Amino acid sequence: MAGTVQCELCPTECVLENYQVGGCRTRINKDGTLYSLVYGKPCAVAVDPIEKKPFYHFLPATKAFSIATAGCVLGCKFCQNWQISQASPEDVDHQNLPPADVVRQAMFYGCRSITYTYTEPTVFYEYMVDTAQIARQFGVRNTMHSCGYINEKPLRKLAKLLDAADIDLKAFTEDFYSRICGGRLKPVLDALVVLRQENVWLEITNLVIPTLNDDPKKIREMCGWIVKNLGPDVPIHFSRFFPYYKLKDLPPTPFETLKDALKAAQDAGMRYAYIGNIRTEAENTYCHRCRKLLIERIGYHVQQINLTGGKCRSCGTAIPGVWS
Amino acid sequence: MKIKRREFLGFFLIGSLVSLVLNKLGLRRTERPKEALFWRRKV
Ligand code: SF4
Ligand SMILES: [Zn+2]
Repeated sequence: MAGTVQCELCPTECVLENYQVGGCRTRINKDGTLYSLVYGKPCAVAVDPIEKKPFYHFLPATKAFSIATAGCVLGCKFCQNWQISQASPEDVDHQNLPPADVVRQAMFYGCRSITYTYTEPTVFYEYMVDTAQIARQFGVRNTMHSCGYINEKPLRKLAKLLDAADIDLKAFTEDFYSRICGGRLKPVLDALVVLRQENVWLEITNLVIPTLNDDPKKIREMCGWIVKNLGPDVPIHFSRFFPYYKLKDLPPTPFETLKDALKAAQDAGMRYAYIGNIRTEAENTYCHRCRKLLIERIGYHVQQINLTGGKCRSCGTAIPGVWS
Repeated sequence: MKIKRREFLGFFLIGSLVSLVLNKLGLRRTERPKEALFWRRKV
């Protein structure tokens, strides 16, 4: 087994022979040393509203400089970005953008934050960490949208540099994770707890897919777990599914299903539950105490913000989130 | 750690300029492999 290495970044823990590439397609064993194939090579670079990530309780109405490289640690059959997430780095066009240039560009475009997103930031861990370190020095915040499929040690190191994370909790059964995503649920739940312990601002996204993860009983169970383990202040985004990639035969999520999910979250005690990917009042933020409108949104556009110093303007209650 | 105005200008203005020149001249070293974090040798 001379020259064999084991990657310990994500729970897959690939064992790689010489010149073998990991399951995420982004890490290679060369003569007994593991290298990243995507460092400084983003295949997607854009300036987005922070609401698109989605973050609803983190610097609303600001711009997020967003980057991604090819690759992913999972293989979800519904992936919206499968052209890059399920591709090898050599198969997609990329820019050469070293960490310092990412930060400079973020500053140039007036972005308050950098978001590591689109594919799965764990696969470009080294690039993300180096960029985040520089960004922090210059007062630019760091956020990620991730599937949370990462081991505890690397996550704790990363969490010290992160200001916010939006984690996809794709379902609340091991069966869904293994059949639809090629992963496991338990490590994702563990990652959520670690991020909470490390005081990273946390939001959760749950894509509701007809027949696969829309069982109201399971959604209630999931929300109960969130309240018990992460607290009632973690916002949850129930996102509408559209037929895509390998799940083209399923219909888009009916609005009623999303409303049921929203109610399940509220019944479980979650204070901030949202519906995404569809225009509705459930995109707005309402004060958990007086129910007055705090942030009005239409899609990614913020219409009004009724917060002063992070407090509700009507009743003065401090609203959980990062507001400045 | 708060950075000074001079450091900010150095990083942002001079850094951007150097970066631009390197890119224009095609001198950016991109193929330097980056060793990964979090792995171990199997024995
Ligand atoms: S990060 Fe990639 S190489 Fe490492 S264990 Fe996960 S899938 Fe394998
Ligand atoms: Zn209020």
